Amino acid sequence: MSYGIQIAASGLMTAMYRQDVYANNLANMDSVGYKPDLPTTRPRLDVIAEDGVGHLPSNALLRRLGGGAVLNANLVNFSQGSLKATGNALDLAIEGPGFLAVREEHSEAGDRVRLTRDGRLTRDRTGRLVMGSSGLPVLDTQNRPIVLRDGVSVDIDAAGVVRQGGAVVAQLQFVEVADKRALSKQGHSLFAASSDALASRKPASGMLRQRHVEDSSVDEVRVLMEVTSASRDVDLNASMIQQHDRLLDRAINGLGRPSA
Amino acid sequence: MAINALHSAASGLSALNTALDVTANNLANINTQGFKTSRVNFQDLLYIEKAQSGTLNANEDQRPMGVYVGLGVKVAGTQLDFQQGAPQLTDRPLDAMIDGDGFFEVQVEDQLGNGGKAYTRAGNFTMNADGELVLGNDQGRRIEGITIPDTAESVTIGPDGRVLYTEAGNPEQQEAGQILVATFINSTGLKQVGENLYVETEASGPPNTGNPGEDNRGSLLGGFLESSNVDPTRELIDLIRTQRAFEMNSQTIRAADESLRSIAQLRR
Repeated sequence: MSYGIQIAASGLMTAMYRQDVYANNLANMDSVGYKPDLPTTRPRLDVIAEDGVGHLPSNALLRRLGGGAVLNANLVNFSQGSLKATGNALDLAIEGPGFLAVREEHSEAGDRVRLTRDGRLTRDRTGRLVMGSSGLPVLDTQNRPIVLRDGVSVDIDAAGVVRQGGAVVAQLQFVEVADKRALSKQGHSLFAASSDALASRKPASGMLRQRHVEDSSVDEVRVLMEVTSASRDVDLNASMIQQHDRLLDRAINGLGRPSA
Repeated sequence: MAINALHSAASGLSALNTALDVTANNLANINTQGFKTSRVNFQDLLYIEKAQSGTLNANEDQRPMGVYVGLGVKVAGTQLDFQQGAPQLTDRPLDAMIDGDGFFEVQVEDQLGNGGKAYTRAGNFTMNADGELVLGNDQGRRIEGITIPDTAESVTIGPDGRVLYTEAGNPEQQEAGQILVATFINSTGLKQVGENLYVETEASGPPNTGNPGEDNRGSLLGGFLESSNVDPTRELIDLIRTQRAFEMNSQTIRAADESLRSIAQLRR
């Protein structure tokens, strides 16, 4: 059995997966509060352990043959994006660790709390403070939406205390979770947290900056390099497959033929 | 599959195209009185769970985190920026700007705006043949309830919105009417309909109309116009960024295409 062809195929498939993930990062280089995904792969165990072939006489030959590569879990790179001044009073950038909590109103499963780094806020027609992009209400520390009074200037300090005309209106739920690996991306700039992670919420150690937004923390140059190098990896693995194919061709069609 | 990379890059190109259109419109309106700049808000699209054969093995522990691939980017919306533009001194008595929150209310066709009302920040007023105060553009939208007689000599617009005039031989000021100003709970939810006009939507909430200077409404500055709040530096930087991002996403398409070509050529 030609294991090489499958090992090369595993390399090809993981390379394409890397290309997909980096393409998505690059597409989101202007999405406020976006955190890039880091695709990871790991070596498979050697083929005997992976495929459970233990009874064949050729096992001794396979003993030290690696099994190729498989996908590993995605990691999210939570490094800080640069802050951009916008002058808009309802734009919040997060500097350092922390998330804003928003509520996703959902008919079947009840309301769910989501976390986001996208602080482009606005008010809806009832005066609630909501995410500008999706309209989800931003929550205070008691998981309630925040209602702002009309026409009074809004002041939000680094810890998330919302003031209007000097009087405290609300305290934004500005939190971090114990283990950021328990967050998974939902699209629409939202992170879903497991119930354990939600229970571990504590006041964030980062700071809020009013009138700023946090740019996407995608490093364009590096990501572009990764996208193109993934193409090369696909190409190399494809060449390996062709090489194995040629060997099989000779073995099948050439080996038994009487010499001409 | 690299098909996802192609789609992600294509979503990037189309979103950036929208950004380019919005920036172009902002720059085109850099000298439009009362114009408010817009920005494009991007956000990431959905994610798919990735399942590849051979990823999980019975000998392995359970994977603590999922493997997922994002499917690109989308335009979440365009957001108006209602920061006040710089006052521009014109010394024209019928020019006015709102210093603070609010919009002038003008009359339009019912099908254009809810209740036949539209709202604008551009206060370049003039008079029509009947002496009514109208917006000084080709449509001449009327401000309700203000008629200036043709015997009026000097006309002024006061900070409280009253339009006052004097007549020859009479030093006492007379009132031609009251300019009203409307505020909205969510002014970024207003719909732009061209001609410097905005109309009410479900998202903006109903107008809160009243005298300028009261109840958080801005007061009026007669003899001034509000310049456009487009910041050319920011727009040009955005333009450069958008263009480069566009190029990078088209490189992704090329790279994904090369991957697919390598695969297509697997079988000789």
